[in-house]
Amino acid sequence: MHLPRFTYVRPGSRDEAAGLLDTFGKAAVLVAGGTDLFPRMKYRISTPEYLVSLSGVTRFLPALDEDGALRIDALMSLGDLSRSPIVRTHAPLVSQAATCVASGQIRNAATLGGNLCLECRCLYYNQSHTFQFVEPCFKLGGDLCYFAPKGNRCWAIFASDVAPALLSLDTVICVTGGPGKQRRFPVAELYTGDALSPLTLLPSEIITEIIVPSAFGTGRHSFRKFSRRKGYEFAGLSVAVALQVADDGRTCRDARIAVGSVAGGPVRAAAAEAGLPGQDLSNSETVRSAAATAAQEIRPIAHHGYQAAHLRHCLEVEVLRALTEAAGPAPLADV
Amino acid sequence: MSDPLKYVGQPIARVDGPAKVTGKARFTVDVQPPGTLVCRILRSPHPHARILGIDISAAQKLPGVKAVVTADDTLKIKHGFVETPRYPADQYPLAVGVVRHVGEEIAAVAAVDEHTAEAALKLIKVEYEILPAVFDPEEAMKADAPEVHPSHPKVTEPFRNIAGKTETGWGDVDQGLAESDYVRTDRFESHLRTHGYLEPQATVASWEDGKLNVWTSSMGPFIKRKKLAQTLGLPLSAVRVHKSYVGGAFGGKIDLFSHEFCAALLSMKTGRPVKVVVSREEIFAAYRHGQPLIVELTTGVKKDGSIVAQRIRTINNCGAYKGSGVVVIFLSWGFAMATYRIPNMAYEGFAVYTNNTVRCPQRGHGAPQMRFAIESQMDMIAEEIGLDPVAIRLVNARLPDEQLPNGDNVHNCGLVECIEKAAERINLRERYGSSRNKAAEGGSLRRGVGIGVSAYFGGSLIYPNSSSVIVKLNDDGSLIILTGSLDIGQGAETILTQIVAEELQVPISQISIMAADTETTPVDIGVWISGNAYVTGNAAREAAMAVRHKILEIAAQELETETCQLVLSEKAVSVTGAPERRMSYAEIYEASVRSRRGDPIIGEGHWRTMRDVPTHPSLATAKGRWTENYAFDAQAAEVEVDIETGKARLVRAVTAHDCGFPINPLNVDGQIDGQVSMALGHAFLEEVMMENGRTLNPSWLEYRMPTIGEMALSESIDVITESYVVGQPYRTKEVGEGYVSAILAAIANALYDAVGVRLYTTPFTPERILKALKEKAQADSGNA
Repeated sequence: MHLPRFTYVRPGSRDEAAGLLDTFGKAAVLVAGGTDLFPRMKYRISTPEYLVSLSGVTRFLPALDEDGALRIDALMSLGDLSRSPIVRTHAPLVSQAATCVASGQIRNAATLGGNLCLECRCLYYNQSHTFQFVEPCFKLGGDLCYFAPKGNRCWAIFASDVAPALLSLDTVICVTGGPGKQRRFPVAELYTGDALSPLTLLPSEIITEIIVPSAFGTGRHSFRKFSRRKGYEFAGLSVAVALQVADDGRTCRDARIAVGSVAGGPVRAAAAEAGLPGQDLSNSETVRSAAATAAQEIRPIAHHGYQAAHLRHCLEVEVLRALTEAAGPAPLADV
Repeated sequence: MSDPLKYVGQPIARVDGPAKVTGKARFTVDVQPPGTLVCRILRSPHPHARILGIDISAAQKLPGVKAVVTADDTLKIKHGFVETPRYPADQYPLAVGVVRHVGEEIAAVAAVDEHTAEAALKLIKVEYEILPAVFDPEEAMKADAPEVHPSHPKVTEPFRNIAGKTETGWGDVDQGLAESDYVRTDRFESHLRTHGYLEPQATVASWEDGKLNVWTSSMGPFIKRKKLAQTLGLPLSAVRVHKSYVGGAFGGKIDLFSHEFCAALLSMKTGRPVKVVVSREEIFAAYRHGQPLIVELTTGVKKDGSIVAQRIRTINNCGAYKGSGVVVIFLSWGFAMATYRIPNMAYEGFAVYTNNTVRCPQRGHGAPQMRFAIESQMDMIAEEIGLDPVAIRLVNARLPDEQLPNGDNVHNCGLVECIEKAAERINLRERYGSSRNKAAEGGSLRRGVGIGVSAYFGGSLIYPNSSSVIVKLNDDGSLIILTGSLDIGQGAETILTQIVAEELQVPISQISIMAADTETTPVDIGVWISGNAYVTGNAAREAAMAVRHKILEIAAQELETETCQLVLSEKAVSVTGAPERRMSYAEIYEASVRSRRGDPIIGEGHWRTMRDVPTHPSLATAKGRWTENYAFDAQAAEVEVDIETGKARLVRAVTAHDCGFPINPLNVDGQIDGQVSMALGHAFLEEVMMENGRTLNPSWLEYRMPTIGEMALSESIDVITESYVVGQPYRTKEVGEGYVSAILAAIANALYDAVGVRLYTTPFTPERILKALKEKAQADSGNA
């Protein structure tokens, strides 16, 4: 398969890129690493007239603020994220999540910002539709979902591994919509939860950087990706857990549990989180109960050959494992 | 006592390796004659429909489009994987009147570039009348099922959609089962997998001066030449298939494919070279995959575990045309009878048409499915009668020189030694059953071990039935091999070079090989019935021997001695005990040209398996000899299961194999590792997910081939039963596809050993394992 024809523009700054996106409107798509976009273009499910590339933009290295927060360029590659000493020290969960993505080559091309802005996926949508599955689904402008024919919405899933990690760390997203149009907001507000249009960004807005606050960044954490193979795959589900623990080393002060690949956006297990502050994390009943609560409140969508009931079962297993690892004495090396 | 072998049996590096790793090796996609047009193919969106009309006029008018063809532009000559009086060719290269599976080829376009070709496809208007379709083979057999094709006229059962039937047996199964101490019946199902060859199918065709030149991704140029000539109405001599290296095939590149035909026809129409590269998505969603078999198995044994009788019924979901679906029901019988003595057997196999994509051979061609069933049931029987898995297999395993019911002989069968060695290496007798459902170090992981056995034929009689090889001596003493054999990554060029090097004592680096060209190289059986090392290898040895005889005769004449006094070494001949009396091959060449009226020393060799057997066995009755080389193996597996998520993985695989004699031990180990990888993909990961004839996962991302992260430790144990002696024919056995089966069964048995649940359906997904564990827990608590 080959790419459709397009015009390639390579602005020198993010503000300039935002301006081009504004000018071209719907005819343009922003491209950083291209690892999510190019396969969709080859399938002709994305056929932009203009590609606005960020490859000519100057990048900055991750650095700590005075308050200890870690600022990371959205154009940092996932490969660099997984290797960066400062990220591994000050936001190890982000580094771990980045390491779980796809393969080494793809991580070297893919960017942090791109991973946060993945298009939602499903087996039906992510095909070329030339001779089979030719009826357009919701995402292709039609009015059907192949997998839920009686429904009236898109059931694709948002499969970023990095997004749940950032969600569990109360990360802040910085965007620019052009000169003087910068804003910042919690990562949770980046997502609509609607697979049809998963991002809240305006068409001309570009993620410039992310800020990981110190509170969770260096706390206890665990990232788990449930998939059939060890690489080259999007998650069946992914779980990120971040804990703040009291000085006694066992009492939970605050907890975040975020889950990916179960819905049209990353989701938090809010009820499970709420039950944890003040609890003794070394008590296996505590974590078991939190995992059960998470599996109660989150109902994974069946996707990519995974059955919903099985995902829900594995959600409980993986949240339990993640909480146990995060609460345990030593960080887990193998995720 | 002969000299030790210097080249054969040695771990010689691949002769095609440097060209491949430096990018110099030419694959079909690299062939780009000037003015080449791009071909794209229009495919059916429906699993079953009548074509009421095709309007190509708009596509023809699109600037840049050079030709558009439909069935009306063809001679409407059918082709098939099998073309016999009972099973005649049944598929048109472009659909005539009806399409029977999603992706079936309807029209083809040649244009100046891919954008234009794809735009032209969209301009072709096809009017369809949708017909009812059927996808499940047992549904398709019902009297009221939609008819894909009429049932075969010789099938007497009141079933619909029967493409073919194999029925055979011996003894009295009913009586045998009645006399058995223990009888059980089980049903096993295998799923749809595909080959996963890395190089997508591609073809370049160039019609010049009445000759069709073809480069194509194949498994042998001669079969392609025959089918192209047949469907295009050309004499064989008007088609030349050139050599292209091939990036893997695993059975998936034997048949004539529509894209090959279309590229050729479009080149003939336009007078320009035409190239088609099939997309990976087309391969997944429209091309030929392996065969999902249902196996119903009734086995009766005596108390000592010896099999008394076996009744087997297989149903093959054959897809929309016969493909190799009618072959696999014959082969499955062979894979059932070759390993164990079965005094009474009744076998019937049905190939059933459905509106799915067509099937073709896939490494093992029915053996993995059949061995999974038989070896799973073997362990179940053993447990019921209180035997261990090794003991029951040793009781039944074929011994050397046993005659098989079809007239074949197992000759130096090493099966017993394979079973013992594989079991010993993994400590199966001690471990099996000892750790069942026990956590090794706490936690959710369980481990178990299991074993399976298998046998596989090597070479059979099928067009063109034989191989020839020519070896030429150069005037500097180096050699050239001409062979029609094709290196598809399995190492054909390397082993042929090794054999010639050994026979003539010329270093590997001094031998060049010209291969796989229907005009400049001699005929070859092709590299797809596990016959290359035996059939083409013996032809190469014969050709080298002819050169050897000439060299010795000239040397004896020039050195004034007898040929029996001469030894060959390092491109030279010398007299035994008098090394100073020596002639180099260059000198011998010169002497031959001088004294033998210009004879430059060329040898030719030919080989055909089973020289007294007129033809291949009957697919319908299994009567007639099949092969003279059975390879045997026992494979043991260690499997780990996470009982909380249901995820399982192969940890370790042991392959004890009787491949006869390993001509190149590196190739043997590579083949075994590759088959272990393929089998673990079969067991746990790979599945073409189809719904109503459409493929849900037509990409590498979601067709989950194992990666290096899933690969298990793979160990192999040589059980050498044959030898290679210079100057004599050898009987080696196959190594390319027999070792993908027993390991699958061993995985199933190890899974049972780990957690006590038996899965009857592949693949062993986390969902299935977890479901079985839950059912077992419920049953256990009910019993408690």
